[in-house]
Amino acid sequence: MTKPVPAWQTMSLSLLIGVVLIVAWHFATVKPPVAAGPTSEYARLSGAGNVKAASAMPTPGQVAERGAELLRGAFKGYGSNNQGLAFHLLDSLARVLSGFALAVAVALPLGFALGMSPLLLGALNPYIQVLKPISPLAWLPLALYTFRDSATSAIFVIFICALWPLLINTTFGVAQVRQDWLNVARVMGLPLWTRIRRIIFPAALPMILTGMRISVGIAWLVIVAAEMVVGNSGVLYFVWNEWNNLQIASMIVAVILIGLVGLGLDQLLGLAARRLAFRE
Amino acid sequence: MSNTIGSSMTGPGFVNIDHVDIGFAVKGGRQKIVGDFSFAVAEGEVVCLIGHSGCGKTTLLNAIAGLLMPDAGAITCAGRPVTGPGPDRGVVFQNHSLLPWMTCFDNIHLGVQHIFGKTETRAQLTERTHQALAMVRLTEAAQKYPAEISGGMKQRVGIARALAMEPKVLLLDEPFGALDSLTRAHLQDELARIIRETHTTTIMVTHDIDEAVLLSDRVVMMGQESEGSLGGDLTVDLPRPRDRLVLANDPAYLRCRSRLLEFLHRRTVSGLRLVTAR
Repeated sequence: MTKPVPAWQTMSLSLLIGVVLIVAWHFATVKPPVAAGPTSEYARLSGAGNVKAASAMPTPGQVAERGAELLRGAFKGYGSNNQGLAFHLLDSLARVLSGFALAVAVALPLGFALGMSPLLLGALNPYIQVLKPISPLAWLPLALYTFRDSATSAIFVIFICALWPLLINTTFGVAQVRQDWLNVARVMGLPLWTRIRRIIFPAALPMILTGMRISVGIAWLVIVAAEMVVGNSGVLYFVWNEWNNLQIASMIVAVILIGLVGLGLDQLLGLAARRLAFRE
Repeated sequence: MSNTIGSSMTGPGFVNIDHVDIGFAVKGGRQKIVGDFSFAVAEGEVVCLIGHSGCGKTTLLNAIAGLLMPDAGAITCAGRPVTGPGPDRGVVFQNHSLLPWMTCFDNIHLGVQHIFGKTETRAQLTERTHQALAMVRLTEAAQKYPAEISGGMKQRVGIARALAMEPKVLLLDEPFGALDSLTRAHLQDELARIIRETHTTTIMVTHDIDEAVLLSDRVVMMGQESEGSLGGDLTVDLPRPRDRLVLANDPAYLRCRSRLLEFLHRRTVSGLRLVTAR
């Protein structure tokens, strides 16, 4: 058993690693200082200096600068061709949340039915197992053909990918409610709805919330695929657009923001799970 | 051979266990746990089922509760056949089984609401739950969650929950088995008082000899089905309320105690003799 490490130690080490990475990044990308003198003049004329010139990769300073710029304009020009980054993020979040909400609306009732009926679970399980591993990229063309609308397709793809973890966790959360607790309900003679509401749901809630956490994480990953086809807004559209403009700094800013928002969503559900979980 | 116990009782009792067989599915057939078992409990009587672990006493109690169905034979309670669980038979479970997401009050109130909700006002229902809590002296723990109270308190909430439904029969499955001996003694006295006050017909499973003698009017001894043995039953003719300190040297109490001790350890002792003879 290792000794617990004080928080300040992990935090300072974490900070140190971050500084080292940024410094390394800086020196890997910074433009070498141009030497004075005729050599340099010659090099510039002959184009030989370009060999040693900066890569297209921006330095951390440039990224920070670009980040500040983007954040200043984050809430500008909604709906226009170059709307602010915040609006792109919000568009993405709206898609993720609609797809996720649909997944919850389907997975919760279906999961309860499957968890409470071994017959239904046995009958549907093969289909679930086949559908579950299908990549969002495989669903996309099929969705586009079926719905003939890119926005609906994007939401559908998020829905279908977020569905499985939540469905499976709900099913097993419900199926594995402790027999003792069910016996309490049986002895009291509680009717089905009361049993679901007061016993099965609260007992399965921790597993359902874990399922939601996994689902939201997947939905936020799937947005990458979904927004490739949406084509006018969203954080992935923004990244792709900046790539086409070779604005690498903007891309990096957006990628970091995607990570932060994903972290935020995960933490939010983690907090909900901790608040709602019962203690034994 | 029939394991009929309680022949001293004439006619059917309040609770009748009539030639009951109970088994569990195992690989290649059924393992019989309880075989051709019969006994009867009179109204208001307190009966303890005692026996080694694995003799089927908990299984039999679950069958009376209606949580599992016997393979053969019949069980009746208050003149009606037992076909499933119901609030006329309150159960106190071995491991308290309180719902951890509800306060002690809500754990009891859940059953109260369902059983009396159609005929009584909200205030009356709340009053019932408070009375149940007061009966087990836990009024101050009403708004606490099960994780916040001790094991003994949890089991008291379990008893209050069962009794708040005003059952015709109270069934207890080794309710104090997981408690330390001091807490256990406390709760035994508490339970004896509650049963005396409510006159509830009680069937309790235990493997604690003192508990059995102290609480029951009659002790039913259950042997292993595989041995085809029945232990018979033992009437505990001691006045109530019973004081464990006074009884410690009471000849009638000691006689009951040694009879049960002999029943539980007979097999073990004969086994020992075999070993030492070599």
